[in-house]
Amino acid sequence: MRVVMMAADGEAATAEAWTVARALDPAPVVVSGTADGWWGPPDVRPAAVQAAVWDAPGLLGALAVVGSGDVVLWPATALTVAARVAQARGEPMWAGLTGLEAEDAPGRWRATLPLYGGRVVATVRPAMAGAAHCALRRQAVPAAPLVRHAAALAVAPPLPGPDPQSRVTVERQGAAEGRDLEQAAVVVSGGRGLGGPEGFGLLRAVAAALGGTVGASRAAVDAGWIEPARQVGQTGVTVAPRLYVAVGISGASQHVAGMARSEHVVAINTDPEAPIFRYADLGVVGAYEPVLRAFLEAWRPAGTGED
Amino acid sequence: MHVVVLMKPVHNPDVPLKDEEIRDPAFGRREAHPAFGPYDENALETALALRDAVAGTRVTVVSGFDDEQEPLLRTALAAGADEVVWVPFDPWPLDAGTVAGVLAEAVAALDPPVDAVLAGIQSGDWDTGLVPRGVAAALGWPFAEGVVGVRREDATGRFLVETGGPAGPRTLGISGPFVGAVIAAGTNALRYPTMRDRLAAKRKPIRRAAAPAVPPRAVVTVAPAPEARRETVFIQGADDAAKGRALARTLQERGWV
Repeated sequence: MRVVMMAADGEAATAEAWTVARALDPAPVVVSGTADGWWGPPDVRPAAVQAAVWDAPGLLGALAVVGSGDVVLWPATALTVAARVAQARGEPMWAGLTGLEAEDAPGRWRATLPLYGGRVVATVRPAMAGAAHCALRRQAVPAAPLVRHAAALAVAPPLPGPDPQSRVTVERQGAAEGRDLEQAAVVVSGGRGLGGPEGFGLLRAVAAALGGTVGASRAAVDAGWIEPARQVGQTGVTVAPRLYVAVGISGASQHVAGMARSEHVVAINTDPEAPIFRYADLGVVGAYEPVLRAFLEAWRPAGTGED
Repeated sequence: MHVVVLMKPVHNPDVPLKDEEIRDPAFGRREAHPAFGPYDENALETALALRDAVAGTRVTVVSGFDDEQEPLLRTALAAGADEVVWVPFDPWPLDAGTVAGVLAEAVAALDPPVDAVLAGIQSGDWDTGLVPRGVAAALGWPFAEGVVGVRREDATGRFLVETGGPAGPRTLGISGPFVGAVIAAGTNALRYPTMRDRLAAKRKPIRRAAAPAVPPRAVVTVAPAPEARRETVFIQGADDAAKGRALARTLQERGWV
């Protein structure tokens, strides 16, 4: 199996892609987003390293030099540029994968991914030989430890494309929200059961007390109670915190798909039959406000003594 | 102005999938409970709101799938779309890039020329978010992710595209055509058609495009996902406040934080 690892940077999405890349090919070809080195596991000895400007023309130039091999593995955060590169090369692309493994025949692989909010597992096997571009779902596999390998790399000449018809400018940029959600150790999420946006004030207090951050179900975002960047689910952010607290969330499969890898789950809901309780370690049947207000009064972090 | 909305029939998310449906060989191709994906509905509303604001705007829904779903397509017309173009092909054995190429060809063939393509950020079945990106790539247009609203600037004719997402709320100025992937924002829930709208929808066209010849790219097999249930311990208490205090004690004892 020949793998081309698109090593954009040293971030978590690239590290997750590396976990799969090196399992498929112990000596992949690396395309690096910088000319003074590349990010990869400390013990990897790539077959070759090529630097590229990290845009479609630059990456097309890099693949023109190194080829696509059997699998081009992309970080999950690079889907837009990956789609342009795959489209330009006429090569298929698969994303949202939760597994990618080699099969017995040389160069052949199979991938798994969840469909319908995690209710269905699909297994994909290519119908024809040839290169394929693949990207994993965020947090589907552990992140490989990465180090920066310093090296002076030649930058592949970009392949020029047609002049774009459109020009894009950023007219306004608000504060980034939600970037902390993916990496948070504690997430306190609210759903339709909060009854309105005011409930998120209490959730923020609980999250702060626990050293975490706030998330939301799609229903709460749909209702306009909280910004879309806070949405946890198959759409939105996939989280894998140490503790996930689901408040007033029914437990639709699309939401569960985004938090199922949480180490510990607490669910608070007035409905004892709410599906969310099937996925919780601790359940509280009750109205969230009195439960959480009393929780806050009683909460003391571990290691702090009584007053 | 001509705005296209890509909409795909998927299994109605309000109807739980049964294991026997998943094991049916026609799963994904023949849908007994069809609905448009909720984000596709957000995309249609975004297009219709733009039409409300800009006189002379036309909204065309392009829908690519194997199994004709006329009643469902009529709901898009009832909501306000001017026309539906059905591209008959089976996307199931295709990768997202190939699907995007088919849809992009259908968009490029429309008359008048298209100024913007909107789609839900995810379809509701595969949910990879790749097809709108692939359509942008195939058309050579910029891609805007997380669209919550679109306006047109009178003076310049530019699109002002509002986006949300982890990068923070943004306004993009886009001169020329673009592809936008729409998310739910609380302001773009699909409008509810009146009886008059439903009657008018019966007279609006559903056009069948030529079936593209696309070889399969993959063999896809499916199975019900194993349910990842947990053994839930319910916190007890005389009232909700007592349960809250008990929850705090339990978390402290277990050292989860």
